[in-house]
Amino acid sequence: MDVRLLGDRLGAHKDRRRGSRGDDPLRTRRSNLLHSASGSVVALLLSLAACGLDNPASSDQPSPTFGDGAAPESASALPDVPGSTPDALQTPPDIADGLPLSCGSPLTFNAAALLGPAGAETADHPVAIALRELISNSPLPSRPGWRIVVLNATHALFLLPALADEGSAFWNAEFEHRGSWVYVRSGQCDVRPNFGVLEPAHWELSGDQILRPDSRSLDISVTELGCASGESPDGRVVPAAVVYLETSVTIFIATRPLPGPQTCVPGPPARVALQLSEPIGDRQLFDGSVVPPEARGAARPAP
Amino acid sequence: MAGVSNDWGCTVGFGVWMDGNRRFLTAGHCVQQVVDAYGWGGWIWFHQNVSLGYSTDESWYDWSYADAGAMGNVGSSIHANRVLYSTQPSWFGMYSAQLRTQDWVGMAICQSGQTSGFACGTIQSRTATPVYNGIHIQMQRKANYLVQMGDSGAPVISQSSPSLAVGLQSGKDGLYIPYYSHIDHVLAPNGGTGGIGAALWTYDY
Repeated sequence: MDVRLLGDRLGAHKDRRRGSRGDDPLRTRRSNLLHSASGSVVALLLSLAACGLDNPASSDQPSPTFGDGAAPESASALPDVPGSTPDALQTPPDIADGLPLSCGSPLTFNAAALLGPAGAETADHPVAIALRELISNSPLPSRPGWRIVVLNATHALFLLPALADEGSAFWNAEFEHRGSWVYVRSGQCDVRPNFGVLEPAHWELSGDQILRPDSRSLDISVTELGCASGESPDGRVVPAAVVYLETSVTIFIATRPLPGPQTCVPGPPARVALQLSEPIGDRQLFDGSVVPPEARGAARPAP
Repeated sequence: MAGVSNDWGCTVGFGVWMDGNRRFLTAGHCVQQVVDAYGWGGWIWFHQNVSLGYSTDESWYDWSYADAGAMGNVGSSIHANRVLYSTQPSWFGMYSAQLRTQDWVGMAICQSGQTSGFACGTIQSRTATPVYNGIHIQMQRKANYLVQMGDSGAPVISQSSPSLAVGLQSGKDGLYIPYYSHIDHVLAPNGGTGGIGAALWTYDY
C-alpha cells in the first residue's frame, strides 16, 4: 500500500464521516465521550486492518525516526497519569489529538507511528545498537522489520509485526536512557488504546440477541484484561466511548483496576447494557480494545 | 509451557516429579479456587481437550513463600520442559531450576503466559510481600514484564540460553508490576514457608 493510497483511504474516511450532527461535533458528541476528531484515528486503525500491519508503508503523519546524530529526537512520551481514577472515558485533548496507543508498555504512541519506516534495527544509533545486542541475546525474533514508535530523550520503544502463528500482533523491545540505553522489557504484545489508569477491556454481544438496523441498545459481555483475582468487573466498567463512522461503529470499553496486588486468574465477564446515540443501521460493530479493532457483528434486516 | 487451562483459565508452569509421579505446577490460588468450588481433587484440568488429571497439591496461605499448586498424573508421552515460544533453536532446553540465592535485582527474566505470551523484563525486588485479599506471600520477586488475566501459574524462566526455571507467575499490582514465586521456594520448602516439594522435570539433551 503506498502513501497516496493510504492518504486516499484516510481522506475517504474523513469525507464519509457522518455529518448529521452539525458543524461542531463536540456539541452533540460529548456524551459519546470520544471527540469526533478521533474518528479519523479510528479510521486509520481500521485501515491498518485492510492494509495488513506487516506491510511496510509510510504516511504523511509524523512518526519517530532516527536523526543523523546520537541525540534522540523528541517524540511520544510517557502518558500523563491522573492522580485519581476517572469515572468515565472523558474527552481529553490527547484523545482529540490522536488516540494514544501502547503495546505491552506504559510508553504511548500514535497510530501513524505504526506506519513508519521498517528496518530500525539497522540504524546507526546507540539505541538501535542496544536493540541488536538484545536480539542476539534473547528469544526475540532475529528477522528484520523493526519500527521505532517511541524515541525521546529518555525512552525508546521498538515494534516488530509478529507472524501469523506467533500468537500476538507484535514483538516489542523497550529501552530507557540512563547515561546509556538500558534494556527495560520486551516480548509479545498487542497494540491497544492507552487510557492511563484505566484498562481496555474486551466486549462481545451477550447471548443470542438479534440486532436490527434501528437498534440503539446493546447487551454486551465485558471481559477485563487486567488481573482482578477472579472477580467480575461488574461495577468497574466505565461508561463506553463510541465512534460512529459511515460503515462502522467502534465501541471502546475500559475497566477500573482493583487496587493493590491481584492474582491473575480470570473472572467471569460483566453484563453491560449499552445505549447508542444512533441506530446501528447497516454498519459493522467493532471492539476497540485492540488495534486493529475486531469485528463484533452487525444488525440483521428485519424479517 | 503455556496455554494450559481449566475453566478458570490459569496457565500451567513446569513439569515436575513428585513422589515418583509426573505432575504439572501452576499457581496455588488457581488450585485453591478449584478446591473451593468442587472439593479436593474434584476437577480435572484440561489442555486443548486433553485431560491432565486432578489437582493434587496446593500452597496458598498467609505468610508463605510460594503461591504454588500441582495437578495431574502425567504420562510418559508428555515431553519434559521446553520453551515453546522461543524463536531460536538454542532456547528449547530447560536444563535446571535456579536456587533462591542465585538471582539478583536487574536479572533478565521471561514469563510465558497463555494471555500475554512471551513477556520479558528484569527483577526489581527479591523481597516483596504482596498482599492478595489479606493473604501475605513473602519473598516474592517483583518484576516489570507484561502480565494479564489468565497468566497465573505461568512459568518464569531466565532470559539466557539455555533457560533456567526461575519461578511461577502469581499476581500483579497496578498495570505494570508483576510478582512471581521463586521456583526454589516452590520445589524445596523450608520449614513452614510453603511450597510443595518436587523436582523439576528437566530436558534431556
